[in-house]
Amino acid sequence: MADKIEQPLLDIRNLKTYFYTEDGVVKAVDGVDLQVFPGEVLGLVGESGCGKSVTSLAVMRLISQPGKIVEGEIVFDGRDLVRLDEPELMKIRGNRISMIFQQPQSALNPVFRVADQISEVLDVHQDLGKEAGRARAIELLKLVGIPDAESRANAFPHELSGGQSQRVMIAMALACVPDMLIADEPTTALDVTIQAQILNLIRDMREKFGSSVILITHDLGVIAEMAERVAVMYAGEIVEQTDVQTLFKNPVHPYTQGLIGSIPVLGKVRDRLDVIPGTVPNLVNLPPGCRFAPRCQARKEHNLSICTEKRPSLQVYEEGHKVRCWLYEDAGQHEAPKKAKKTAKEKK
Amino acid sequence: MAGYLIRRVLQMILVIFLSSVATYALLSFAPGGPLQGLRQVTQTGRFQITAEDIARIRAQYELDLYLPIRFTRWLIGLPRGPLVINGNEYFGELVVGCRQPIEEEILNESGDYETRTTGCSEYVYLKDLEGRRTSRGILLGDFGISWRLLRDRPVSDLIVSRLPKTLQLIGLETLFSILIGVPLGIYSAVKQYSKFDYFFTSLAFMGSAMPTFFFGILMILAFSIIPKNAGLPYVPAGLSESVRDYTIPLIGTITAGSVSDRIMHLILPVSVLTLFNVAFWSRYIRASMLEVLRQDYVRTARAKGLKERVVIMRHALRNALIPFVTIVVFTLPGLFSGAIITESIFAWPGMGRLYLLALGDYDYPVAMAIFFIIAVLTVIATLLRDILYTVVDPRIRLK
Amino acid sequence: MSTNANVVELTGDEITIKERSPFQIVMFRFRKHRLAMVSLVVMSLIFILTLFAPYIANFKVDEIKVGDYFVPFGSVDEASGRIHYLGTDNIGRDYFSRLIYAGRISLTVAFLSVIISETTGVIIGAISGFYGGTLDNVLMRFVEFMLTIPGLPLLLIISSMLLANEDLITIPPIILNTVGKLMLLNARDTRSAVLIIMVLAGFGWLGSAQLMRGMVLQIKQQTFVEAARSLGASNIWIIFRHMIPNAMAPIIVSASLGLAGYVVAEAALAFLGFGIQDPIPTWGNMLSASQTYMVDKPWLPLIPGLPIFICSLAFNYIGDGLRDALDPRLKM
Repeated sequence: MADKIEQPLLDIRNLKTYFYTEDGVVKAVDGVDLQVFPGEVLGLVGESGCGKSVTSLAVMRLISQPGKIVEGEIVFDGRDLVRLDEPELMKIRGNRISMIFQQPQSALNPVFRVADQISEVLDVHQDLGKEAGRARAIELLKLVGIPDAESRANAFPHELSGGQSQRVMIAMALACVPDMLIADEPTTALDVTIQAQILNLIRDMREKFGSSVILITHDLGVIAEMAERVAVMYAGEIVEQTDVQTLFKNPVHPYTQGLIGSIPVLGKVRDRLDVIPGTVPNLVNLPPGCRFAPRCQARKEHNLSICTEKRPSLQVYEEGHKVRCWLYEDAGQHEAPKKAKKTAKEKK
Repeated sequence: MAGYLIRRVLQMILVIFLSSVATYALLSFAPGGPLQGLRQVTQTGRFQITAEDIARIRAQYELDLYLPIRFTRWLIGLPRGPLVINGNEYFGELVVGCRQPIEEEILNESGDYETRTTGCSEYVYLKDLEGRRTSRGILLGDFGISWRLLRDRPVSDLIVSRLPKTLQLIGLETLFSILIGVPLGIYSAVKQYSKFDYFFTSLAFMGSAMPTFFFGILMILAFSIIPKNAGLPYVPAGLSESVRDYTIPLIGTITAGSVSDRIMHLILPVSVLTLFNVAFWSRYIRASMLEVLRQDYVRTARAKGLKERVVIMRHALRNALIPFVTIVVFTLPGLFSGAIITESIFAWPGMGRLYLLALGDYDYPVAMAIFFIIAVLTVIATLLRDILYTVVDPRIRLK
Repeated sequence: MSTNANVVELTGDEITIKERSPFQIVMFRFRKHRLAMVSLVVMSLIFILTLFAPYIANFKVDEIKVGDYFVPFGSVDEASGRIHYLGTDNIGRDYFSRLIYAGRISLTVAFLSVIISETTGVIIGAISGFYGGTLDNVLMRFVEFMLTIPGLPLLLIISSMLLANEDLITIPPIILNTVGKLMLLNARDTRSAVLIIMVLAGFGWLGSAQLMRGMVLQIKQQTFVEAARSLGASNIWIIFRHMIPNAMAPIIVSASLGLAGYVVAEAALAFLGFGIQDPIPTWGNMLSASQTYMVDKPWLPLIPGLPIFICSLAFNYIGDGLRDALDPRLKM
């Protein structure tokens, strides 16, 4: 067991995915390193437009024109997905890695019945016939908690509510018992009460099927509830990666600190929430040094000039905790990491 | 659904009625008409045409009846005579028109003489209508009689003789343009940003900017006149069949009026219309395909591990065809108007050319009949489109 | 994706992103559309030719040279030494001179039609969308119905009737004189051109009214309108200060595409014999006339035909370029 944990199920190394638009090259994902271990829930968190979704689509190899994976490896179960051809990929998609999306209602094809859309996956990967496929589809619908599954199976997507649609998507994603489920903002488009139900369902299903889950969200509340480990993304790169407790107790990257500082906490009275000044940088014209430098308060406090000149790399900060920041760079002569750590703790 | 249909059909009848009123209003203000020539003749005095002759001709074209009576007779063929209930006639003495108007030359403000009708010396009564030829009404397909093109013959004769020629053109054109345009549009969308797509969209863009009449002439030059002058095989342009036998180099002699002669004459006009609509359909399909390919459910289909071909042919195309099917139905009446220019260039004896001839010759009953047919077809097509929507798109329920 | 029209600047320690003005961004994007730029140049040349028609054309429009029928390109008129750049037509009129005068007439018809129809459409659409209710319902049903009827047969029947009754229609002399000056025609000849503009614009406003109404309904939802209203702005103020300026982008695009449409429609009417008639030159009736002689002189239809095609294509490209520049979301 311990062995297995050492061996990641998915290992993304230096992934770069660019979009070649008329206005220039959009560096949506620019050097992402990420590991997902079997059976774990990894939260991927960041503001919208930071490259979370593109990363997940790259794993599925679903980046379409004008986007392209320009560099890096995505090693899944020992094979590099970037180098696989289409027929091989088709055996993986929906079968070993599957995905659910943000807008469940638009993610289902409006002109096909729900059961047919589920049994289609079974037909492709398990060669299940029409009858058997339908029976299994109804079984799955029951499993994800659709009431009156037999009759709902014949429904068209527009006849379902948002929450039900997401349940159908989950049923479809889990139909072939995948090793990994990527959930891209699965609850963002849903009502708050439904959100909790869907998150519970994902948690139950993970326990039942043992799949790893990559949970993409901008909502730190969801992360706190669901994830075991967390990666924080900013402007196309991972800036901090650690387990969930550490992230909330001891965030070290100034951006993460800002994110966590911006959550209102029930029962705590604060004069004002922390706000990260400025806006997310334009992914075409990225700042030359650290991408967070223009907004970084810590940079100003410590008066670091390297931040605007050179891009920092993702470094091990402590066991199981990585950070991409010049404040903690061993090679950085400007500042001792301890002091920064203190400031982080003081902030708490 | 039933309630919706009933409401729509009622709406449709209202629209058809209103457009027939508008049509007739235009018709009644139309200049020319059968009397124009006669008046000139009486003025020059070369023939002896009596007032009685004019009255007879006015009666023949119903010009002696008042506008509302004329309109109802034109629309539904009523009234045909006095109302008969239990053998008793009613309203027989009702004045419905004027047989002999009193006309006076009056000096108007600008100093010219003009003829004005100042009164009536002899009225037409309802009972007089009994013996007349009565149209069954335009709503029943009786469009009255032609003023000039086929003097005194029913308009429907003219239309019946021309309609098959136009149907031939637009039938073939629709078939070919969809068979060619749809696959091209799909391919272009699927290969977006490729060289093919770039080349093809530029071509279609230019095609859509090209005026039909100029393109038709270019086609005649390129495939008929220039090769013929150079002694190369050519395609005949003009009319739907030849008057006398002709020889095409390398192909042989073609008998006038034979099947091959007719096919040869179809080639150019059908190609012109087809190429145009290929540009239209492929652009349309490409756009709607691109729209669909951007949708989340296509991404879902790919994420399921389906083959790209299945993703496109089953998941995307099915959705892209929803607006397409409905638009095809909707464009059908418009094809008549597309045929006007093409038929004019190729002297094709169809409805479009008939329409132009009728307008040019002030034969308004013919022109109005054609226009009315187009309007009715449009209204029916609109209804059909809305019904088809519900058949192909499960999301739409008619209310 | 967002534009890189903004510039990143490094000044010492600070990183600032310089924003360009909206106008600069539009110009930047438009200049990227190469075909639109080429079209702009081509259209400018055509404008200059037609604008200076009296100075460039070396013959009068109706100057007939008996016997000099279909003289070849570049022939010299012996009496006066003037050159027939494109030869003469079937009754000895100089082709080149007629062509540029025709261009002046065709382009004036197109521009006036666009101005009238877009203004009407914008105002009616804005009112309809803004006030809603029965007025909107009736107006839009009417527009919808008119738009469903195939356009060409309707245009033909209306223009044939108007032209046949030309003398019964009174057009204010001031309009005749102004339009006549633009087209270099006398008041008598201008009548038919004005009627054609009326017919074209009479149907042209329908589409832009629909477009404008859609835009207004969209803008109505937005908060700045609520804000303006809460500050006590009047309806007219809101329509003219907020609605119309915000809906301008698609209207400008539709106007430039409309120019292409009107050039072609005017030519089509003239070609079919229901537009401006022969002694007055237009590209459409010149093309129509050339048909008779094209068996022996296959190049003849190209002379009036190409300008129609070029203008149509150029206005389409400019419209396309403007669409890319003003509203990149609409780009396919």
